[in-house]
Amino acid sequence: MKTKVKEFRTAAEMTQQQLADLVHVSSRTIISIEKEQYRPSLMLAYRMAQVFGVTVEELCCLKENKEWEDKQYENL
Amino acid sequence: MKIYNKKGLLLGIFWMVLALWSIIHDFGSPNPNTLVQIRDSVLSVFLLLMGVTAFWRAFSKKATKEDILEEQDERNCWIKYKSQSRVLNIAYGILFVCMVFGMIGFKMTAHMVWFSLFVIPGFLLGLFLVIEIFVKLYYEKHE
Repeated sequence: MKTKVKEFRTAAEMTQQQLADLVHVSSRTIISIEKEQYRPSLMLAYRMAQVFGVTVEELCCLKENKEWEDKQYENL
Repeated sequence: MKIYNKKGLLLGIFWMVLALWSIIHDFGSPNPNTLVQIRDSVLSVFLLLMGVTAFWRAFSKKATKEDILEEQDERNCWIKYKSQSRVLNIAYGILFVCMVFGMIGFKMTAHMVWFSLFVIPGFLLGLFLVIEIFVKLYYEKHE
């Protein structure tokens, strides 16, 4: 899933480990989310959004991801 | 000293006892084969190190917090579920292939070895499927 975690994290001049400590997960989880390999849970997304002071919708590009999923569904 | 991780402490004691027993056994009645003796010694040292580390970490607040975080990390849990599920699927596949080969072998040779190769995986497959049905029913009701 596409997210803006890396974008917001670098803008906040934060390391992956620092973000991981703030949201109570391992740094590997943050790396995976940034690589778009892992979909964060709703609570983790909310925690990260709170750290960056943005909405979950903005952080997780929900509109864009929904449109992509809808397109995939239509192509079934 | 305060114990922060009781589970880790017990695990550490278990590994250390196992390692000490293995070391005593290795030195008490050494294996004539040098390679086996080396393998056993390496294994004992490895077990001892694991035990000492787990034992020490149980008394450290920071280490315990790290261990709990690692255990509860959502990606780690997800990987654990996914890998266990994949292992089960592979096991199903292997059992099915064994069963088919056992059946063909028994049909062709009428030898009992082939029959057991057909019956045992077949029984295990059946047992796994029954357990899977009950587990599914449980989670359908509770999740």
